[in-house]
Amino acid sequence: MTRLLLAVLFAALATACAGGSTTDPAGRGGGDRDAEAFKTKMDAFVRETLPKLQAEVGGEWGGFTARFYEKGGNTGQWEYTAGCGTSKPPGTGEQVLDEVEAVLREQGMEITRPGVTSDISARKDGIMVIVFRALESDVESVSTLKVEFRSEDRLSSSDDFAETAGNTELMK
Amino acid sequence: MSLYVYLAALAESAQAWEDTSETVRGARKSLTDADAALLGDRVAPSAQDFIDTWMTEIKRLETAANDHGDALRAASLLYAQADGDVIERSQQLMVWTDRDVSPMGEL
Amino acid sequence: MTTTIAVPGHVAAIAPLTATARAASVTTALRSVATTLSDISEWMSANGAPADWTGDASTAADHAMTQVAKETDGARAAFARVAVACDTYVDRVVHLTGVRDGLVGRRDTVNDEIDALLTKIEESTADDIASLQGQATALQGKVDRLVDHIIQLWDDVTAAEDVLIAAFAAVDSTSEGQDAAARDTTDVRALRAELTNLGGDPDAINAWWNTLSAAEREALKISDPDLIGNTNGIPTGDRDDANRTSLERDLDDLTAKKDAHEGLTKEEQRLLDRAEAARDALNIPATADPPDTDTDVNLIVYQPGAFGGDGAVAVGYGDPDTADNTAVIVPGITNDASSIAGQGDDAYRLHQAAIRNGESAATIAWMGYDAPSWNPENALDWPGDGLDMGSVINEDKAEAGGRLLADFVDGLRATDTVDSATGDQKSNLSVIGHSYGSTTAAHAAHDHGLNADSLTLIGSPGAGGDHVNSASDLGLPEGKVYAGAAENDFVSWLGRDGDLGMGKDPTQADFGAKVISVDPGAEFHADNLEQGITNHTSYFEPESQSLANLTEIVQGEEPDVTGGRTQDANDMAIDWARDEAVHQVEKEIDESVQEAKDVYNGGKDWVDDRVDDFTGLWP
Repeated sequence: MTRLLLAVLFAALATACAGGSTTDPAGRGGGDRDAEAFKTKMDAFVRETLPKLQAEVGGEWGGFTARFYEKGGNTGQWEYTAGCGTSKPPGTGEQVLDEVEAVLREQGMEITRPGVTSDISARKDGIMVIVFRALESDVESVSTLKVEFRSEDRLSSSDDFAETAGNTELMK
Repeated sequence: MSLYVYLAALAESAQAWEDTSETVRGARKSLTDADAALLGDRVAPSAQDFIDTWMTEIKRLETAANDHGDALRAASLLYAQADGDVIERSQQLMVWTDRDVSPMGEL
Repeated sequence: MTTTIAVPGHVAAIAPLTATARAASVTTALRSVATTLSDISEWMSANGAPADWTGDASTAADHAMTQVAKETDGARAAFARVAVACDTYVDRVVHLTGVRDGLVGRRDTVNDEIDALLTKIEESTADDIASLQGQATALQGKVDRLVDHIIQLWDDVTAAEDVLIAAFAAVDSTSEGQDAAARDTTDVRALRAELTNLGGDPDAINAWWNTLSAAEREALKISDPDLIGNTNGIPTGDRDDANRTSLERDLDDLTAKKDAHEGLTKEEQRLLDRAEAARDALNIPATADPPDTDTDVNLIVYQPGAFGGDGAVAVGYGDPDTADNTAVIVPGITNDASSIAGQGDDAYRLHQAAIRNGESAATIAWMGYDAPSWNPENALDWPGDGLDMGSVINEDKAEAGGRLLADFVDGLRATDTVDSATGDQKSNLSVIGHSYGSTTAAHAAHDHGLNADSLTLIGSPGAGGDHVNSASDLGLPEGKVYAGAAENDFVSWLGRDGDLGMGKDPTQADFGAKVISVDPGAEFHADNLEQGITNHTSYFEPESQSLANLTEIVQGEEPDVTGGRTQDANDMAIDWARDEAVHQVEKEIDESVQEAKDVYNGGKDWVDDRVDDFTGLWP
């Protein structure tokens, strides 16, 4: 019985993996989980939010590249993520985080301050923003601030869109 | 008939030159992609001079290797034709049962 | 009476350096060209006139391969020379960029203080004059020191630039290249033989490498990048240099072929896929512009053709030779070198979490063994990406991978900085095995004495074979075996001994590992197995309990621990199957009832329509 069950589970795993490239995304959670639809939504959100962040936080910010990653191997489950950072923004760690939080709140995001693996976690419409600040050795000023926009849920791509999308420069 | 081995050696060398040309092409691409500007305003002109000089040399090597390969292929073809003509003429002159004999045995 | 207080003017903006860390790509390109030329020169030499030729000199001189050997060796020497100089220059640029960033911060502060003093002066009274003059003088001293440091910065930048300019100028003609080759007395073949004779002992290799001159190291990186890049015991930075050279060579060779519309063979396409995946993994921190130059990214393993074309790649975020904390993440089923970017994304996330409070860390996505991979798009491709998955039901690959993992970790230990005070290696080294990778890591520990400070097994189908009955059998320091599994991760239900098992479930309470808290994952059904996959692959998700606990472990802290499972792993699978059967039957009944209703409604509609038709006939 157990042997059979294990074999079934592995077969199921294979089938589920294959689903990433063959299943109609509309049947599994609607358009929000479709890689292409999500990318359109998140790209627009980033383009609107990032200039405000740059203006508020200061420091030297540059481009912002977004791309898809397949999670956990060849599983057919994708994450869309875009990250950037700035070095040594003015102010203390707390001041910088407060500025970032204000901008994200203004964008209608729900904010938490987990403080364990990241400093700010914000969510809205399936878009998640993770903010890290790394401190200088004085444990007060910020050496780098990193802001990552990403999909909150796994995405699917029925047409290889995610696999072939390549990088998107969101600030150029 | 004695050219049989020789032709194989020609083909082998021709292939080596063609492979070399292809390999140099990869190096040329690496050099094309090297962006001297990334080294900064003052360094970039010197870097570009270096890149330009060696790009010319690398292109020359690539072309030469390709030409060597072509030359050997062409020679190989000429030899093959000549060899075929000689064999046919010889066979016409040889004892019937010896017409297909080669040093390695029947071909 | 008017009193003048001399307040210093604002310090002018400090321009950014015109070179950035991205200049490292130029070094890689120069070294890659040198490697290609070295390969050609070596082959041509071997097939040209022998060095001890005593016949007519013109015969040898006219021999094309002999001639090309000489020409390519000259070019090789020129590129090798500038590659070394460029490498040094980029290191200086990175350092000086950091200095400049620090000066920019100081300038902002000083200018703010100047503004504040001016405001104070405007609001001051006669009583404040002495104090304000003192403050102005102190501020002037601060400004002067800052300006001196800015001048020093630009002097240093100019000096670094001059060195590189001179290097380019020294070999920017073919004759200068020939001269450089003639002066180059490095015997690469002898060095290669010395390395081979060390028999793979990472400590001996590291000691030998440290005796070489910079020129000898560079020569080996250029002549044998595949060897140097993948030898345990060679320092990480040098492995990275060598592997990036190989990567650039592969990308350029294959894309040039593609651009020429020559068509790639299946093997070449697989090689290109893996090379591109490695490049994507390296670029994860650099996708911003300016890039994340604080994270030193290293290509520590690059063998795209290994394991029958599945490939072996390891990418490190942070430098394990200098980091306080190092983690090696071992992925499992469905992974091969083509998925290294996704693994890198997880590793980079862990890295970011592990350095938040000023610590240094290196996290390595290690796809250095032949995991049972699976590419559903090529399911029928054999040999290829397809049916490799079948091997997941035994431990062969985990056993073979265990040895490779243990060797890799030995290499990290050999190259790690030694703490001068204690004489111990500096890094706290954690190994994290996920899925089948946990079985591999357990084999490394049990079979090969994995030299790690801790071992964490997450989403594990089994802790490595019938000889591991408890955490203590893994040979790690007391209390340093951790395990974690989402309640609804079906792979973690597979732990069992015997012919179809991969060892015990390490999250069982009686196994003796410290079981970390992990989010349970959503329940899933047979018709939504993707949720099951999500549960199995979410251990590095942002804000998850597991990521927080893994971060603690990597930092050498104690994670949040729960009691282990008391229900047998296989029983969890059986329970799921039983519940699933009930669920599916109920669903079937619901669907059957709905179908009957549909048939009834459809039939009723048909009858109603017919009645309407007949009604129409008899008005």
